[in-house]
Amino acid sequence: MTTETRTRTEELTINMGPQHPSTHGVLRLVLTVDGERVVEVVPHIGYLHSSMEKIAEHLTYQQYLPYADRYDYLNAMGNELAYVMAVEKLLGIQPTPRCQYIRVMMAEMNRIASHLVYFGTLGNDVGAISVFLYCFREREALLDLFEAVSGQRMLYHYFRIGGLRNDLPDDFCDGLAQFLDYFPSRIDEYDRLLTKNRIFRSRMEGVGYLSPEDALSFGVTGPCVRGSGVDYDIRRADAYYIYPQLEFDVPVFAEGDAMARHLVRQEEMRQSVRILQQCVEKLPRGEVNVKVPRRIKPDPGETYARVESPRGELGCYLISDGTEKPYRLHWRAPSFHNMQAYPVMCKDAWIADMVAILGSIDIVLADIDR
Amino acid sequence: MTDNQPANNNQHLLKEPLPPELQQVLEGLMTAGSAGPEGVEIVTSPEHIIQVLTALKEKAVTPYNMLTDICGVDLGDDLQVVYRLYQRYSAAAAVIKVTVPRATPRLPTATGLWKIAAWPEREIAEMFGITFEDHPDPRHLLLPDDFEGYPLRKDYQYPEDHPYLKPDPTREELGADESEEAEGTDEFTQADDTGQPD
Repeated sequence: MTTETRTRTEELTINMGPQHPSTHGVLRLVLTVDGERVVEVVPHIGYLHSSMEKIAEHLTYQQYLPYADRYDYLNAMGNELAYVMAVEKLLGIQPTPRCQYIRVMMAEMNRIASHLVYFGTLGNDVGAISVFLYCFREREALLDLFEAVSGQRMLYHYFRIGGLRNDLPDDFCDGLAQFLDYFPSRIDEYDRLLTKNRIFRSRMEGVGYLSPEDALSFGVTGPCVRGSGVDYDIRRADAYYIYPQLEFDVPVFAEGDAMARHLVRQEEMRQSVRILQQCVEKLPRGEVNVKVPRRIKPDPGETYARVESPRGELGCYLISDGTEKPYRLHWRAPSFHNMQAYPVMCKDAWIADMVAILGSIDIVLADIDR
Repeated sequence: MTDNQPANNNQHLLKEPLPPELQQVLEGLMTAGSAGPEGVEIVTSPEHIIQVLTALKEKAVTPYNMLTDICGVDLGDDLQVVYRLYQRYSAAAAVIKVTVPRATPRLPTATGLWKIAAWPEREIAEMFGITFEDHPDPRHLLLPDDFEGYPLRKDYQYPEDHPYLKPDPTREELGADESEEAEGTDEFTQADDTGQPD
């Protein structure tokens, strides 16, 4: 006589967030799990929704600029860049060569600073806490440089429609060159400390696979799509300002897993250093501002400006009705669209891997919710 | 028509006719089409929008196979949805505009063509009150489930009793300042204001 024991497993719905240390803000994930395996993830967003688009309709073009900083706070210079590009396109203004160089330098410095935060928080998420401290040491140097140009360490409000708040301070290029001298060796340090770490690699390799077809269908851009083997970078595909004159590579990794996205960002920091070195060398003299009317009233029309932010394609769609306030402003937020692919990446992953996958997308919740 | 309405949405795009191969592909599907420095612009009707998107994605000689964004616009009498497509690896854009009547704003969903369409359509649905038919997940996205009204419409009324949405009492004073300042300002460079030496 035998007794048959049947073990029956049942799917369980659990809630992760909104206050969870690995969600980089306020993100709520509703997971359906079978044991430790994830069956389904449903992201609930909107906890940081701040009506960025409605606010723009109530402010003049200049008044909106500081809001652009605040919406993706890790890439404040990049947001300002997209916004001023859009307004200048509406007005038919071309910034001066020196201004274009400085704007590109600021955007690339901000890219490094943003990737450093990514490195630090990803390390934190997967249990390598010390990396955070190393990354913030280097970020500190960049923030000092930002403070020197704009007086602010995080939300700069440095770009203006038609130019910049002020030219670079005298010793800025020396300070930046000094940083660029030692920073590549620090990237090697992160490489040894984190990327080549065996535990880290086993957490990152082979998890969170995103196929190139899915990446393109979901509109994933930035390091996430380049980690899936798609060579798509706005700085190349729709080059703006001085990028065509600069030498740099667009790192692409074909594996499509969390590690590939991580490696893209590590390599991108080296490329940003290359870009910055060329900018420091070639930076032309001259004016940084062009004359613009004090009251900005673009002719009725519409435009779309897009830049490559650290997270992907950042677009600003602007419609003018001829008054001094935008008729409609719409942000094409990279994190918003990258996040849509997250449930696909998490299919059949372990719950613990979800944290690593989320870290590898490098979301900023303020960017998602706007 | 309200005064706020843009008189001419496409002034920035120099009006040139669409390339013949696109005209052929979109024969009978569009109401207007033009080409300009920012890409091609196609105006179509809600009945044809999915056919236009499919044609651009699959039938065009160089297909516009990336949908980057969908955006809603309030035109006053009507609502408009703007689809922005790109050719992969290039700067060539196709902007597709659909106008839906304010009284019955309905559009078919584009989620069958691109997975990216899901969230932007949910956002437009809650912000502009446009129903996307057959959408796989038509819940609110950013706003709370019980939110009433469509906040990105121009006629949205802020609820007066909401503690965070009360009109700013200083607003009128600021408005007065603005009108005073409006006179007698010609041109200036920002450098004048900063007091920074050259």
